[in-house]
Amino acid sequence: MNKKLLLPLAFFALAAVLYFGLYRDPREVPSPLIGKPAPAFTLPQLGNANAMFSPADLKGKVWLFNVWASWCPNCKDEHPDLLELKRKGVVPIVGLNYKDKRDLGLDVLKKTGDPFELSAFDPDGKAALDWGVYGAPETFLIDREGVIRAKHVGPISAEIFARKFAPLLN
Amino acid sequence: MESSVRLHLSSSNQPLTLALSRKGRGNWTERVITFMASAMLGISLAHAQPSPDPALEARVKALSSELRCLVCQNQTVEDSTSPVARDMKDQVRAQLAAGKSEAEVKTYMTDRFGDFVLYNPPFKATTVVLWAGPFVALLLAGFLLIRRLRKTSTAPAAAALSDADRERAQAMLNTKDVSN
Repeated sequence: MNKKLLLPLAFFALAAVLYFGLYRDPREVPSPLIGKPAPAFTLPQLGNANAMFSPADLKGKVWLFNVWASWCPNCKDEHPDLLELKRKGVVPIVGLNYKDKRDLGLDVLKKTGDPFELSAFDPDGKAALDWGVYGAPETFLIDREGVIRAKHVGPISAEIFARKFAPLLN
Repeated sequence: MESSVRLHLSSSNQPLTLALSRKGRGNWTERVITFMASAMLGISLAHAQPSPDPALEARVKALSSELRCLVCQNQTVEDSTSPVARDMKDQVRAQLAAGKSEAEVKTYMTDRFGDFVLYNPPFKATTVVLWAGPFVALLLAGFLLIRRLRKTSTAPAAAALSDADRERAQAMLNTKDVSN
């Protein structure tokens, strides 16, 4: 190879790597939980403190697990998209009401609609931590065997759902 | 324990405020300093944790200093005041108190958040470039430098003088001798 070309080539290669690096979101930490069994928990439901929910209840079903809270502004952004998924009956969605107050969480669902089959109530965020959640909203796709297949950090949109989750539904 | 910390801090806060206000009531700098001092004490108050076991607390502190807060990514869990970091610290405390080792708690965290949660990334296949990269670059640069230096130091010897040039040079040197 031409020696004189080598230096500019190396420079531009490095520049390209750094340039594209600028567009990566450092907040999106790749989850090591993808491909692993969903962490177990048993929590009371948001709407009924006497009824419990455990991810194992949904074995044999493909479902979406959405971490949300009344204090989370991005959750409001994705709420219509979740409602749309519910309306179309694409996939059952279970909510995890995260570090919230029961009445505030219920109030959101009453006022803006409830896209969830049910929501588990996790006021201290212990179950969420077990799922590697570090904010809200976060959305997981769990397959029939109870294995986490995909995860999205941040509000979900129709476009993101079509790209990240829809191809995995079968 | 928490109440004793609270007492201690507020009692040390009080003389400072008094001393400053006695000196000059209208002085802005002093007011700001007083405000900042009380604000800082307030923050440390808010995070004073009950610690029934100082030895455990020291381990919790050491371990959470090695964990990254995933919300404020340039802070450790120990330094961060974000709720998630507090949860992670509580989890560290609970697991250590339950008799788990530091390595087991780290594994718990990396199983859920990936190696990114460790401030000190482990040396493995995916991080080889990260760890070895600078040394490889240094070696490469050193190698190129030495090669270049060798080339320049041998260059004059390679350009041997022809007999004609030598005679001309000798003649110049002789002339210089005479003129001096």
